[in-house]
Amino acid sequence: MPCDLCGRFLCSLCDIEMHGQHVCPPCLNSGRKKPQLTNVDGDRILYGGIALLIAVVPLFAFYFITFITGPLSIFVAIYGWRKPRSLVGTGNISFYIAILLGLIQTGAWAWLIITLAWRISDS
Amino acid sequence: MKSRPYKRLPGRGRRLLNNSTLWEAEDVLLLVESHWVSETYRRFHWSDIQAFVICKTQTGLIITLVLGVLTLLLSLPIFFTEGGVAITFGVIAGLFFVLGLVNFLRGPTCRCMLRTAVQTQELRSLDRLNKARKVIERVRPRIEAAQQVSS
Repeated sequence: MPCDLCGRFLCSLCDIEMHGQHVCPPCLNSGRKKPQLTNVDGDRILYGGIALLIAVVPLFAFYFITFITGPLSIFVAIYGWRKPRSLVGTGNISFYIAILLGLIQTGAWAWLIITLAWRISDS
Repeated sequence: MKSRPYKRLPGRGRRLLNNSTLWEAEDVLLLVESHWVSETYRRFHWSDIQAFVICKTQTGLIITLVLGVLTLLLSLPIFFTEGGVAITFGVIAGLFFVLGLVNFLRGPTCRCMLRTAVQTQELRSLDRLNKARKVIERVRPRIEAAQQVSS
């Protein structure tokens, strides 16, 4: 019997049957990192939520650091895009909002820097 | 279109930094604790569920009474003042009245526990009596089906 995740052949002692899947102990152990093993997931990181927090929180108090957090929120959203998302399918919209806010902040800073550079060069 | 394996059950236990929801799937009842940037999951197989324990609490009644008293106290100055002051007190009193009314209409509060052979888990999302009863009635067929098969 091969492991359904890594293909390694299993003896009857090592074979763990779980919801119709046969997995080996190492795959079960690392199951939290594999999106195929959703039945043993105990927690998941919501990269969309992290990206959204990075994009939104500085707007309220630390707007001057948005030149860092804008691109950072885009990076986190893209980094987490292919990672396992919420098991119940919530929070997908936060990716889109984070990228949109990140683009607006980055664009605003780019516009500000270009305008300032233009005026300095004019004067 | 890809069908979702989990269906959301009524109720949401809200806290400042997290909230708790219940989801039903083919083989498990899933308790999801969301913390803005992460989610934790607890699975209860239908065949393992021994009981739902509902304890009615007085929290809802106390909140309604407190909001009612605040509404009364804040509406008193309306009769002795006029103009902007009266309007301000009226708006604040109205706000407390609406909050109290919403709390009253949501029904009595409760604590709901799910019991298995090895643990007792509080279900924060089922904090209202009518909601808890509704959810239990909805999952009852699944539990009965699973336990008839397994027994």
